Amino acid sequence: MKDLYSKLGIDRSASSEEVQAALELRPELSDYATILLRSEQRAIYDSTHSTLKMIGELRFRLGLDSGRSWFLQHCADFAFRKNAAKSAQNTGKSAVTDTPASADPLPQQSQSVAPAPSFRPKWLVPVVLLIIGVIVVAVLLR
Amino acid sequence: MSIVNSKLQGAPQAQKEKLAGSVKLLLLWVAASDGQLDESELEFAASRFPDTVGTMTTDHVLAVIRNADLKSIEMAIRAVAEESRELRTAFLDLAITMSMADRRIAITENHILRFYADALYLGIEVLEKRFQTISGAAFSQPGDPGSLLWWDQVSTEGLPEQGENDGQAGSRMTIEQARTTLGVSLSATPQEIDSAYENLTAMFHSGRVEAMGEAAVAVARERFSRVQEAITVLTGPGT
Repeated sequence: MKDLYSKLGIDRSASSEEVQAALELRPELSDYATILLRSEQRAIYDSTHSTLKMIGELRFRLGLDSGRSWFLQHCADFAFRKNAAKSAQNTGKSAVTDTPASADPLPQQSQSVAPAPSFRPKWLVPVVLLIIGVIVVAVLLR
Repeated sequence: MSIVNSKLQGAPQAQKEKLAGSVKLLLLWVAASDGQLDESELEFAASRFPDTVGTMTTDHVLAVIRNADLKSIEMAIRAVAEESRELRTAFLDLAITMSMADRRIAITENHILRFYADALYLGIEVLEKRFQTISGAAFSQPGDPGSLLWWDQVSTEGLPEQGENDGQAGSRMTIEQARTTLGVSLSATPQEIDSAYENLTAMFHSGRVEAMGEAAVAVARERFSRVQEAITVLTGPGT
């Protein structure tokens, strides 16, 4: 599923007026008005959007963001990555494009997220912090 | 409701409660994912998941879901993932059952089931197989409400339905509903019906379900009574 809100640069909580205004700025996305400006359609879109956001981050935390039941489900827009914003043309096969920083700021922890393709084991950050801490303490005690 | 595995009785109380709370949270997420948590859903949750001393209260669990408290959900799924393969599969069965409670499986429920299957090291193949066994229908691709094409399809065909039909409360199950409840085809032989019934009974009537706590038992009990009703419709009372 496409993340229409990030494409439009608005929040999921945006009012119909805000959606309307955002759609006017992006005429190439105007077809999606039929989804986002009809309350019944938008309710289904929104519940899927919020669930996919949650699953995207949970899968990232658990190291499950490359399973076939996830990526083949055209869920790439919801993969929990830095700069996850995709261009409107991207069908979400695999490419992580270098589009400008995501319009919807990702929740907490985004600063510890590795750049898209590289893989970092979970223990690396705490271990590095621990080593730095030990060095600092050693220097201070000297 | 069933014989409790003696090994499970020996498990430390705190660990049992942690598992029970985790199962409750994860099953409620399935139930609550397809829309806003409104009054009817709160009632639904309260009636199916009575609060028990020691485990998370239903209110607490609903707050976790409403606030997208991912840390709690992560801890819950990790707690279930530590269990035996049999128990993890039994949990997935319950989550599938939960997703079918309202006649069709919602897009969000489809995604959550896929996530659970992966997070519990069972994989999509096990999910597809269990879903087929429990619902009698194939596990489909989730719909895409961000696609104009999908909405065109919905407007001509209506929202796709999957799994058993729920029937109006109080009305007697039709033969067709009974067969989908048991997950057998319309051409199934009496032997096939019997073995489907036995499989489902064993699945929901086991110490594994009990070990997962009150929420798991509540879901299994409801499902079990529907399976009982279905077999009565298909074979007549007394079998």
